[in-house]
Amino acid sequence: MGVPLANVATAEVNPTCYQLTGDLLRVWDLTVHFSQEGREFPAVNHVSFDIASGEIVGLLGESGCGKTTLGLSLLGLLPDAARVSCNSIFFRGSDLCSLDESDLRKVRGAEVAIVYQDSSVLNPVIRVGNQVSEVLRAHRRCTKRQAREEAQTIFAAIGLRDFGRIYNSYPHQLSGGQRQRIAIAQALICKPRLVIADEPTASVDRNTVCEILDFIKQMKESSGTSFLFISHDPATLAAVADRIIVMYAGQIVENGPLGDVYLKPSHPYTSALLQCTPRRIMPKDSSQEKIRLPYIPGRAPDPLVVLPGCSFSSRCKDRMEICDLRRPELIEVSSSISARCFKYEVG
Amino acid sequence: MHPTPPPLLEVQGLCKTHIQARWWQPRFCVRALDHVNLVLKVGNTLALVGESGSGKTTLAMCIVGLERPDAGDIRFEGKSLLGMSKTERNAARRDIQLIFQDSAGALSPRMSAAEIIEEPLLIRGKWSSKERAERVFEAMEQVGLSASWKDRRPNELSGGQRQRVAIGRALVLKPKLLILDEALAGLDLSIQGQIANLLLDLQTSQGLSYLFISHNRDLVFRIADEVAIISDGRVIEQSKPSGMLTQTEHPYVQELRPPALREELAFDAHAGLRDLQ
Repeated sequence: MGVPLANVATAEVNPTCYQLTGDLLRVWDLTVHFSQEGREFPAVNHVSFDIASGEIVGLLGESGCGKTTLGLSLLGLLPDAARVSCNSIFFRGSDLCSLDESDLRKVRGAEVAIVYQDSSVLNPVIRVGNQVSEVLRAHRRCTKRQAREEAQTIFAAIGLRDFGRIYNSYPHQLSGGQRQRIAIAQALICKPRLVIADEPTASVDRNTVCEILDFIKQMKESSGTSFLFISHDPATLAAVADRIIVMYAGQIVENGPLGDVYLKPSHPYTSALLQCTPRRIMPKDSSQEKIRLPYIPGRAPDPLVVLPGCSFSSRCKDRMEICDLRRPELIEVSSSISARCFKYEVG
Repeated sequence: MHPTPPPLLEVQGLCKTHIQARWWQPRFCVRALDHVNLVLKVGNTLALVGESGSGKTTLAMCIVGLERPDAGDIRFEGKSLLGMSKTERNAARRDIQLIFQDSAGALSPRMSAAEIIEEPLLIRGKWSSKERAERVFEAMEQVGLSASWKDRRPNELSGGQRQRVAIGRALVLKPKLLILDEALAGLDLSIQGQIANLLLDLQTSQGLSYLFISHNRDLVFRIADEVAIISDGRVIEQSKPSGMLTQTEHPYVQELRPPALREELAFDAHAGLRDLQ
């Protein structure tokens, strides 16, 4: 599995880009175009990253920045309207880009699973238990009873008590949090190597959030599962991720270990976004002046408008002259961190 | 004469049971509100925090009159909303406005921003078209929408701008109480601060009171004067945010605390280190 990957890593690599070190998933130069009103625009723009075995990568970005599109494109799940152009998506030595639909189906669910944000992916007229165990039965030879036992273990692990009742329920009989956990159980029952989790905790209560995050960490430690954890909330990612990739307007603007990115953000967008997180609860007296919340002025650029310069420049505090003239490349700030900002360009 | 003015909103022993009757299933009762008591003082922000399904939205619906409570009383400026005559109630409802979470769904896609903001004036009657235009312009200015946006339709606006239109529509009748039902929940972090600050500014300039319904504890503790925690239709505690953090008597609140705070602490550990450096 190492051989083809080594070739990719050494051949025609942009030297300013960060070194690829991962060994499970390696995405190289992925671009996804959508068209609107007859004009094409990139939703995901020349994205390269890698995920190591047993690593939780947090993909941080605001709505419309292309993080969900990126997640779906890895498994070829985008609608036909999307045009995907990519150099390669290497997963355990095989290129997912070049696989045909039937080979891709073997990978989906079994090797790479996906948890959607919206738990309405469940079929309303099939009992949820069957929906979970059918994933296992589709990919592995096993009896119904074995599948049910597997489901029982996974239900217990993600905190779904009362197995008998829930297994035989229909989706509408469960609460939103329970449905979300069913969707997670569906993704994890085959023990995939990589899970793409698209905001799995967006619609659940915070107590449930903590249980789910705990389970994800446990899963990573016990079976070495990797996660691409997509979220808009820096605090959620702080609790699980090993590494953070920050996306803005379809591009990766920063990529680095959690501690480095959160402690010393390299890109101005990352630092501005982290400032916006309502951090420590500051109990205030009503006598005091009310605390104003930090925010980023302006709004994200219209994807249909092609800017000559950096897409963040109009909202940036550290804006320079060059920012409006040409687009910055992803530059290595240190051995593990890269950022798309002219601040780090040498000379 | 009251020695002190009555609170703006007082909810006393409010009960509401939803009955679900469908032909294919037995009658099914949900106790959405169970003797809820709340007090909101003039010019204050009261945050209502609870898990989904705890009855937060039902309470908001009862206050604006979209649901009729089974028992209890809602007093607005000392007068019972439930015992009022129709004309009185209409007048009181002008002072209570509701803002929904999903601004995209709450605004008609076929109307322009100005038409949306103008609509409450048409419904409540008695303004000339010139007066209406003036008030729409005023409301748009208050919420930070420039006049050039007036012909845009909701799909041409960003999430933050749509939420501004929704707030503008609520403000055009010059209400005293705004009920914000998860009004900041769907917004990006970078925009959330803009809208929260806008609400604070409006509170200072217009003397508005807010009933702020949310499950986002971080946000609530920053902007509310008082926090009420609601669980299974019962208000467990109403106190100042500082009091709630240091001393929590109720087991539910304690149960709610450790895991909910853990994420914040994980994040805080990083943020704290950054401040040191």
